Amino acid sequence: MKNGLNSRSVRLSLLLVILPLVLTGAFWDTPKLMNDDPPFVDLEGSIGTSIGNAEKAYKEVSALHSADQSQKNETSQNAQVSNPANVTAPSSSGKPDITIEVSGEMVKLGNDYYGNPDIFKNNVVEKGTLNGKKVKLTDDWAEAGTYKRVRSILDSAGIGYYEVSVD
Amino acid sequence: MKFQLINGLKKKKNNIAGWALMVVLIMSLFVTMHAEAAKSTGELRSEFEKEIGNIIAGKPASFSDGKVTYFVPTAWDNANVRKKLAKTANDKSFEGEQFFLNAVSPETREDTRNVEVFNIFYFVNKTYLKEPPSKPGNSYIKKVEKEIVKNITGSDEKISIQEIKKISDLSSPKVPVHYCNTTYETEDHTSYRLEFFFRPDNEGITCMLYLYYPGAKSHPHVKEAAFLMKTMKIQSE
Repeated sequence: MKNGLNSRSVRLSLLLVILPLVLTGAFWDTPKLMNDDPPFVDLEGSIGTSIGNAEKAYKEVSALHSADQSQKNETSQNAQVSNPANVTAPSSSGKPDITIEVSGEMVKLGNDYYGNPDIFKNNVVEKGTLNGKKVKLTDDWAEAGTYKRVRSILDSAGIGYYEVSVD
Repeated sequence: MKFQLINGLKKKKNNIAGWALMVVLIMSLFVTMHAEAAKSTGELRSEFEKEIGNIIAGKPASFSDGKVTYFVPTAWDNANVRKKLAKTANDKSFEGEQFFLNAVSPETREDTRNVEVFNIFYFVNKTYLKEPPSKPGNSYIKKVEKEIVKNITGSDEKISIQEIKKISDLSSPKVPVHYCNTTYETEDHTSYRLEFFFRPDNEGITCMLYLYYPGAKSHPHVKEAAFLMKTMKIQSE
């Protein structure tokens, strides 16, 4: 008499488990790469370079902060704070928002440290107006990051950047 | 008649036992596969999936004689950020780009371990496989992808390659996007997270690798990386 293990359904069940493994290549040899090649990406080098870039960027920011601080002090002393009309009500973060018009398109200048990337969505924009004043986005905006970009926009508009709190 | 009835019942019992065994075996197979997939769910994968539809400004770029084309986010188009991956010493056709994202946003970094690097390169089957198949199947491709990961990390850690439907659908519906994540430990024992995205074709695999420090408070460049991935095209597709 046939027992359970010899039944057709048991054999079928084993086949159904083994077949997918065979079909998916579970029993095949692992592909062999060319052994004499170096790693495709040198992660150790990448990390080192990245840290180097970060330190360089940090120095640039520090230098800009110092320059910003001295100008801020000078502005305060001369009581020549830029036109408050340029600044809208402070946002929930406590930092002011500014809207600028670039090539007819209203974009919002973010109030966070990185700025709102929307303002840079069209980097070919060279000229525009900021509350009626000329604005020019400088070519080097990408080199030193958002802080410098914010500064260059407001600088070129002929207003101070005292109100834009970029800590 | 009585004997036949008993015999029939026994046969029925055997069949039921067989089917039950089959169900258990198949279920255990599915559970194992699911566990593997769940184990390798990445921290930033969901952010990539969320950001993949966004369009930002970019400049066209390509490598491998125009086989792989994509748009580089304008914020990344900078000599401090971009680095061409050169061919290897024995002139194998290995090409691509690295983006050192720390140089994009000069955030104040109190912790220099806070590193972000995005890599894109093309793995040519004919060049890098000892026995390249003429038309590799999906399971074979996944094995190659595992070998690529091992080559980069130098680790034998078990990894699982998954298919990301959401990104596949948005970038190129005909081509699956494969994904896996793992860690990389530097000589000073700092662990970094690696998330790999693979786009295979008949001749090779376009590999994208996002490296970051898992302790970072934010990853501001995921949106840009997702944009690059979305705009990427392989000419044979």
